[in-house]
Amino acid sequence: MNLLFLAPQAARKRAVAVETRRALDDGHRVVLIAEAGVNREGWDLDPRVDVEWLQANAIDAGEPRATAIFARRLPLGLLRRVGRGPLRGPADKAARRWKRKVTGPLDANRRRATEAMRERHRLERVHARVQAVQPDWLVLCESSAIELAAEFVPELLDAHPETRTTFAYEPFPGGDRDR
Amino acid sequence: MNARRHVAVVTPWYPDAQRPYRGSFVQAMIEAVAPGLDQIDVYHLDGWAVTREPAKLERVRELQRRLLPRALAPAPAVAGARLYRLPAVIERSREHAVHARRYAEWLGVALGGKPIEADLIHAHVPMYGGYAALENARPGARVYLTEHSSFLEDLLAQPDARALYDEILDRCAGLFVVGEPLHRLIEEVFPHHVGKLAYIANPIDFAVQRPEPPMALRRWLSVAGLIERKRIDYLLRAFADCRAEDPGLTLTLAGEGELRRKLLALAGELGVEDAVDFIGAVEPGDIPGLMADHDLLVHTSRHETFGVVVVEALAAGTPVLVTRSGGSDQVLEDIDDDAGQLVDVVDDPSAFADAYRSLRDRYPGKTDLPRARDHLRAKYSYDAVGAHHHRIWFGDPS
Repeated sequence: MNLLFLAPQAARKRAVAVETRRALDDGHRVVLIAEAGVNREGWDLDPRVDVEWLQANAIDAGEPRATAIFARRLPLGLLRRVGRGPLRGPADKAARRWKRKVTGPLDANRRRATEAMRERHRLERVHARVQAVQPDWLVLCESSAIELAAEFVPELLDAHPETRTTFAYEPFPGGDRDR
Repeated sequence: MNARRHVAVVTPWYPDAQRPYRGSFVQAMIEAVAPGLDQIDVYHLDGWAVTREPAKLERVRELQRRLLPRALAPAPAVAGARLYRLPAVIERSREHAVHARRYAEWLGVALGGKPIEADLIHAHVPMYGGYAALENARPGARVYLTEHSSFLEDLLAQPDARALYDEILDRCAGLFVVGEPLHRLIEEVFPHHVGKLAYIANPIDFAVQRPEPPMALRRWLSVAGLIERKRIDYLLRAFADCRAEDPGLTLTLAGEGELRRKLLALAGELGVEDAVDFIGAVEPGDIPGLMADHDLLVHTSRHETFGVVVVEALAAGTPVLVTRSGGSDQVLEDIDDDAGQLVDVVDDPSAFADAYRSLRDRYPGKTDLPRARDHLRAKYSYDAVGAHHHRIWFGDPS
């Protein structure tokens, strides 16, 4: 069977490594779509696994240069300089207020924009790979896989209701001592 | 003719490929009780945290309502049990009552609205497994619970969770705890349920025993997570103190945790990095062999609900040097001098080092490991714990 494992946050690397290896040993073809993480640390994958690294965490919405200068560096730099003298208390208070009122909301917007870009990126990559692989069995390895699946699996199951969906690759023979 | 003995176990913790040691005591309990049963079904409800954003959450929940019944296929488990793995998607929340209700809801979804088949259900962790079991039990089914949670005090500080816990205790047939600290806490908070409260042990494997007792207590072993509560920094300082007198001492640290990097650095600062081996997490099946390969189990935890590693060490024939963390005191009641030595939980590592010297000086002449082992086997072996459960469930004779 064509198995597609989905691990967009790579939160269960050990389980993915064990289960993909077990699926390969059972004679299945295995494709894994996963976040790589920093330098792909912690992955111990069988070389036979066909991996699509998402690298969504490398995506950042960024910030206009003018915003970075006029909303962050200039006002906060000025307050830091003022704060070196006798006005330390008021300068610190003003900096905290500036961060709360100005840079805090800017950071939140940037986080939201970044997450939206990452989500789009993940979905595009998953859509493309699902089209190419035509999986018989979809393994949703972690909670973020269900979150991502909510955006494409309903349509997939409507079109291919025979597609098997599970949350782990469980062996049929054997027992959980091997797990 | 005897009625068919069909038992369901509902648990939020059970070993899986990601965490092969989490909930290994539930797996052990299943192995212990299996002889004499016709069927055991295990429902492993694993909490998976998802977004709280309402629109997205609703799409996730809608999908999960569709996927969960499709995934309800049993995998073979230990002792012929049937294992159902069911992720319970839960919006990120610190409220234990929210988690409890979601566990119950998703078990119901997975079962397609039908009740759990078994007439006898044993659930682990009342708030999670217990409430899910009660909400999905057939009318007339008896639901027993075992509490193991180290976070119970925090849980009961939440008013909703406390009220729900009270309801759970009201509806269950009996509540069991694995150690004295949990017994005391539940008794204090819910004195009106004290009649349902009793002890039950986690089963321990007594099959592997070292051929000879240790000659000298020089190879120390700690089996504990590298987290604050286990006080491994304290252990390292005490070890360094003792090693200054005896350079042949070694320490093996089995376990993982957030403090690994800091503890590695501390071992370097103390100049004992060559004598300390961080071996990471160990599979439950490898613990008895590990115990038998060392001379002394050391355990410095501040608080434990049950002293499982203490029993495992003595089952393997290895003496123990452990803090009075609640669970360990209870396990070693009446046998502490035979088994090794207990140490008060204090901040000064020299207290632990002094206790080591005292034990080293009286070992082996003034200890009696075989007596301690026999005492514990009568309480904690698979046979003993399995029979205890059967007495509770079916009224089997002692």
